Amino acid sequence: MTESQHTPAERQSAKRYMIGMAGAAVAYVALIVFLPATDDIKNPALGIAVALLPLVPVVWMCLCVIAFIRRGDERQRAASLASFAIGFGVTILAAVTIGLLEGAGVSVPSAPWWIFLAGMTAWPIALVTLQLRAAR
Amino acid sequence: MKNRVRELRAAIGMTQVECATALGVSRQTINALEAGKYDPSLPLAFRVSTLFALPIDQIFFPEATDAPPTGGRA
Repeated sequence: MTESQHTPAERQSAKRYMIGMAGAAVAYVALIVFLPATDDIKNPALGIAVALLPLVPVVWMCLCVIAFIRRGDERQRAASLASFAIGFGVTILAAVTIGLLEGAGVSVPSAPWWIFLAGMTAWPIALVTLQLRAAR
Repeated sequence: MKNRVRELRAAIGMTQVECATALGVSRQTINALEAGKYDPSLPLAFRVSTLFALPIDQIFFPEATDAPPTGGRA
């Protein structure tokens, strides 16, 4: 059997992260699947509340990420911060790009989701790149 | 910054994982430290010093190319 490449604290942290994220993901999917369509809800305020309810597991995911980063060591926290900064920069760039396109009359379907996708793609790529650079 | 962490760790037969566990950091951080890719904070440098029972200046060696706090920019 090969020796573990991780300390017991790292394994424990990763386990807590995976359990938290899995729970949040299950809650998110359950809400998306089982919540009634907002079109079927007569009360507008209730419709908005139902539409925003999946934010609860998303906030839960954010808390899992924050807790995971806080459990990391000083180098991991620095790499996480740098990757967040890169993700934020890409998100802003995507938002400004789409804003300029729409200003020029180009319609971008599902624009908020493209912005989300840009940030959520850039962040892990930056994190993995920074971790690999330190490991070389 | 150069350091003797790899040499000192090997001298006492410690693995990177054991060293990381003793210092409360990840194995990747020990690897980055040994490869000279990461300069530790002062608290971590003191923990390394305590682990190997040596003064910090016998473990870490500054180089002329080390970036100053400004990152070398005026």
